[in-house]
Amino acid sequence: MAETETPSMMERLQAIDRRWIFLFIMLAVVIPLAFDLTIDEVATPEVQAIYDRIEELPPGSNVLLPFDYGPESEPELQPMADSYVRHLCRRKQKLFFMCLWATGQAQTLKTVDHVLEQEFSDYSYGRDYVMLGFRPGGQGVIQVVVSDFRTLYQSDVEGTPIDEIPIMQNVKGLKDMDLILNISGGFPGLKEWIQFGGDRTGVPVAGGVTAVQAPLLYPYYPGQLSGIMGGLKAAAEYESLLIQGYSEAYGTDTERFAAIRRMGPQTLAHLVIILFLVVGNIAYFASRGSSREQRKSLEK
Amino acid sequence: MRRQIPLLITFVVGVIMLFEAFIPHPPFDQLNESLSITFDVLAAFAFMLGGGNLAKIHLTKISRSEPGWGYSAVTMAGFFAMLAVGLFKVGGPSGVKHALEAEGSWFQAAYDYCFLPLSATTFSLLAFFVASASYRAFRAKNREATVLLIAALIILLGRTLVGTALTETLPGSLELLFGALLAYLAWEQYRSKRWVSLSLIGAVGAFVLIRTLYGYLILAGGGDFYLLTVPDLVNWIMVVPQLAGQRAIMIGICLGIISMSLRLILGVERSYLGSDND
Repeated sequence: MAETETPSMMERLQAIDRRWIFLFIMLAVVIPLAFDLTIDEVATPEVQAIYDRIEELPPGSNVLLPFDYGPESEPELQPMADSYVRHLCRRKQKLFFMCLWATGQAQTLKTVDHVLEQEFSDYSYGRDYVMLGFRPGGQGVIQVVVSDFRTLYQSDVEGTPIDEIPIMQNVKGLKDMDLILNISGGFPGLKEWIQFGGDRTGVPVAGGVTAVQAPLLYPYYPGQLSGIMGGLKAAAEYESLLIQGYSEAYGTDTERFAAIRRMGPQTLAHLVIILFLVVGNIAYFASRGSSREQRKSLEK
Repeated sequence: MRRQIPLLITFVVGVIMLFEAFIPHPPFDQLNESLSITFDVLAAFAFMLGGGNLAKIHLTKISRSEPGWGYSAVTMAGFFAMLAVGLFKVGGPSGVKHALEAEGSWFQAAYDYCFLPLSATTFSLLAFFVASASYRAFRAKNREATVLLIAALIILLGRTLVGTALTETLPGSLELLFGALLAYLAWEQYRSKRWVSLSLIGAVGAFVLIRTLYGYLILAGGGDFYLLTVPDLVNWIMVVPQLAGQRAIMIGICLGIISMSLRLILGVERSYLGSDND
């Protein structure tokens, strides 16, 4: 009977049970959450550009907020939505919510319930903001609202006729907007808003997307896209900017800023992945070297 | 005739949309809007078609008791339950008049307490599988894989504050790391190209040493010396090599779309009409 060779430590390391990896990732996520590890972020130019664009808008400007995402990307995108609304409300802008995703309306409602109504009680529905809701058709919807919202939106989400809503009195189409601030989890999303909305009307477009989507949108920045936020880190950067810019309102309170709180687990999880990548490669090279030596000794 | 009419419609609509892109004035812009509305109406019908298809596939699976029919049963139960509470607006404050998302509506409750946590859970599992897969598969097996691995490590580091902290507390560390990598690559060539290899190692070593020492001297004197940082490197990767690749892909896709659209408009591409036997 042939003698079974015991695998070397490096070979065993290469074939490590994946449940160990799962355990490390779980700990990397749970520990910072348990100890409330928060990290302040420094804004990148793409994120700073969105912040500055909102700061430059005169109070009372019309800002369209299409929320095109669902619960699967909520951890990354909901903090962006909340931050945009916080910032826009601080600047006293008029908000127009709509969505090209069926799940977008429920996500809009979350921001409206948790941020707008809780923190900005002076904001009144119909006068300062409106929820137009979802319409099917993807980029087709954008093409229609370019000239007139009323063609597709005869009423808002509550069934109130558009013409009876005060905020809609001076708004006809997309050209009446001063900024399009999209949050997108895929298709249709920010790319479609640039191509069919911003490019056709000249209205500046900016927005936030998931981290995996961001590289696809860099070709549009800074020409067709005023600013871009990719993933949780960018959301945390924006929250840091808000805390710095509106310190009298937020002080050192990071409790309401979800992205800053979530960056702790993400940072540690990234470090664990880096560690595994390095260990995996060391084990690979070491076992490759030892097998080469074994082959040489057999040849001799 | 069955083929000529759809081909004619495609040609006329295609030409109108094409003209509208260059002449956004009446009647082309109005025609474009009308056609877009038609598209939106058709898109709404697609929901019914999608729902019908879903029901057909899963109900057939359940009726035949095919393997995994239990999952189909759960899918159908969820589908019909959401459809019923959505269509009849169950639990809302004012009968069928209220919005789907109104407080107390069962539709919103199902969304908040079932759909949302289930979707988030499924998506969260990615973190575990990505970590496991990258450990097993992300190896520096050849030159291309090594470049990809180094870029991935830098981006991963840059997405955390550790990347910033690393090069802020230890300025020049990144240059040192790159210097070491270059020196290692040069050392690998030592046997075949001894003098080239030694001169390269010497040059890299001298440059990194002098630059780092010079940098620290200026920093110690209170000056501002620009040293490479992880965030800078991440930014460079994103806006130079990554962007160039993305642009190349986008231009390729756009050329493909243009040629495919022309084939459709001119009736060369007819696969969307189905086969003659249909």
